[in-house]
Amino acid sequence: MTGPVLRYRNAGIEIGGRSLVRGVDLEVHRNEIVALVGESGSGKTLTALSTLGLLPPTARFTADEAVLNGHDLRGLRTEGDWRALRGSDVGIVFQEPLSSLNPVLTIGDQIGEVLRYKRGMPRRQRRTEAADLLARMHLARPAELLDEYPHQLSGGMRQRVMLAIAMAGEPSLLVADEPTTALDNSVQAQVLELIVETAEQTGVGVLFITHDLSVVAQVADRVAVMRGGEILESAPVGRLFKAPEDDYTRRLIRLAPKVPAVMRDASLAQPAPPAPKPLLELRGITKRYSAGWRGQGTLALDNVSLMVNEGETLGLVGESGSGKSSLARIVTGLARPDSGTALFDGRDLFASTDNSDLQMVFQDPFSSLNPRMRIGDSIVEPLRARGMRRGALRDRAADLLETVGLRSAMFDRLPHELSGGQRQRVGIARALSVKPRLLICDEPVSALDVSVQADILALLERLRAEFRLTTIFIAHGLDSIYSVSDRVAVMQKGRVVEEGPRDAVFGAPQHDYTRRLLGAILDSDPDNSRFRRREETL
Amino acid sequence: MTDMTETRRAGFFRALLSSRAGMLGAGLLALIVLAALLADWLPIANPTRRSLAIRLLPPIWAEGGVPAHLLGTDAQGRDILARIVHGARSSLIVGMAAVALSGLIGMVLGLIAGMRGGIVDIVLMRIVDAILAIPTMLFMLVVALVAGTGIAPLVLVIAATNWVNYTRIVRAEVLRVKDMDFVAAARISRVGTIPLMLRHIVPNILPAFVVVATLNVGSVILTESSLSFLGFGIQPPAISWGQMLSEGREVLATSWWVSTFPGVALTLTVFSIILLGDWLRDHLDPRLP
Repeated sequence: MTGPVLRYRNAGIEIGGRSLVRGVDLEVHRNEIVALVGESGSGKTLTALSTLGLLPPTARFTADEAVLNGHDLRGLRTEGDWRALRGSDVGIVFQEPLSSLNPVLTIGDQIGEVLRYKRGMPRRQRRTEAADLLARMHLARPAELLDEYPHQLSGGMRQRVMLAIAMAGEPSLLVADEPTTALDNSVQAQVLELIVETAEQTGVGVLFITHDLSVVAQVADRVAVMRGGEILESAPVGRLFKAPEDDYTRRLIRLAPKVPAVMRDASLAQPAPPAPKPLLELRGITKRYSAGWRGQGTLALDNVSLMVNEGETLGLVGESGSGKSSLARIVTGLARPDSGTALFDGRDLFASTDNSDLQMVFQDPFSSLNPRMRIGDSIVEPLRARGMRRGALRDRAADLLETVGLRSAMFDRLPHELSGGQRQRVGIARALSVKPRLLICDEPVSALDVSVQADILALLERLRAEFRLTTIFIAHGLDSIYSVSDRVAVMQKGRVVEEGPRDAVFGAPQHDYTRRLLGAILDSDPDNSRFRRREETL
Repeated sequence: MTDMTETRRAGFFRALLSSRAGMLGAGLLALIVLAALLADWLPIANPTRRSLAIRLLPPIWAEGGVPAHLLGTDAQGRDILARIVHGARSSLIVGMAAVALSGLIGMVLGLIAGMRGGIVDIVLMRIVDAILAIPTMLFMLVVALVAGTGIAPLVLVIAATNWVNYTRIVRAEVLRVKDMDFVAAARISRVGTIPLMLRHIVPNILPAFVVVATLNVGSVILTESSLSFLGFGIQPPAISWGQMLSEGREVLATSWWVSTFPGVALTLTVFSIILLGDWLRDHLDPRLP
């Protein structure tokens, strides 16, 4: 077959009279991975959905040319027209594998459905073919998996099943919409590798939607950067990273996570900062969550001992289920441990009633503020709990708003009037209102857009010095904490498996699990791709 | 601050004005409430004056109707329109008071069950289940035997079973809200339990609560009528729609209007409240993260 699998010229999408995507030129060839990169609201997902006819019914799609595998997409009107194309010409893998698989059908049924309607296979043959597809996705014991339900599978396995379903109809184009964003770091690399391998073996063209430039650097052949509904720049991956033409692209590349140099050359390690005295000492913390009356429950924390020195930042890393959130809940007093002690500056932490010992900044800027409370009131709430008088509170709120880079006039706003980044600033102001000694930051930027992340991290860094904060920085991957940590602790299954000065952990990891997490860090340098099959010519 | 509240309030009324169903419900209800409030001053007959000479007069448009009694008279010669207008008072008072009382009980117990959890929660919810399992009307009749008759006992009787509806909804909402990060933030800042509930939990469960309460007023008024119809509710000389329905039953074959008009009044009242409640649910649709 000649020519591109997908070709858009001057494509646009309008919803309710508002132009959300304009002038998009896009080409995906066979055996090629094209990344569409952008932040939320850039129009990248709308563009991708338009290739499947999955735009909202009120949307209007226009283009000078829109051809998918020889079919003119502009002529497709009815759901029936699109259905003929979906599966056999274009397949999709969504971000959230749990909600995109049908929970009441077995894996075998869901793959079989595609084989039946798209390839007209008889029942007996469907089963062997489905098992074969699962095996090609490197899923162990594929024959048994056919009879299992989505909830019995892990996130990474589900995403492999999604890919098997998408590939079952032998499409020419695969749309992958943030396929690894919801996965743990160590699983992410495996799924990316699988997508690259699939493209290589089947020749399917891939339109890869992502916000993460290090993923782009690892898998893409060509990249289109989108912002505000337009493609700013489109180039082969090597050229885009080495010689970006647009300012926005340059900024994104500068902010993308890089593999710390110490991981390649341990001799670059900075000397660990001297530890004056411990501020927080956890000893033998154990917490079991019970499961009803009789169940054994799960052991969330298993004899955890940890130390945080005055003035340092401890990076606390662990994937979902590692116990890092349980630990944060216990340190902040939201939960009581079953056993173990905690000393804060020599005193028993669990007996403390002082809210200026420690405060917390949360991950989700949407649920961390009371939607029915004015942000000024939210900010001074810790002070109010200490008994500060009403008159003084308003002035303090104004000061704090300005400290975190917001206008003091925002006092009367409600959270829904603010952007995600602004809300996160409000959350930080609230935590700092009582001048805490220890600040726990639970993935404070992972829900934000890349360019906003940088601003918030810079703000935290400035305030850390200004307020002489000791910080625990919680993250699910090692990549995001290198630049902020002095020391690093790695958690797995409720235990601290490794703890040490940052460069020692990154440069000479002792535990297998740490090595696996380090291996999951994706370098945003396309020359260091672990997956790419052929050399990119500039 | 006043600025914000005023704009929000203006938005509320503008939204109400733009909804046909909402306006219909609000208008109708306003009319009924107004009539009940002004009953003593309206140009209508005395609702309790009997006159056997004019018993069972049909409404004005039927043969034999007279302009002095627009909707006719009952078996004792009392004016039906006047009795409906005066009866609206007791129906509305019982409706509002029973909802307020059961809402208060339900809110407090729901908050306790949701916030405390554990054994307190289990015991409270089993009591709720038990009350839901008993035939409501039967239970109320038993309570009514003890509590006696009249408006205040009637309110107590209805609230005795009705609070479970609120406890369930409040508890469910508390469970949804209490693990959100802003509640965690307040706890970390050592905000006391009562301020925590008043500032963070209650405002966020209020929309659901208000919607349920509005719709509940309608069903409570129906319950009041049922009880009065059975003779356990409001007793003469006080007037209630249920009582009128009951009296009309005896002459239903010959004089349909005696029980039909109180029935229509009851239907319109409940209908207007449901329209308003429906609109309120759409409007307040709790937008939580």
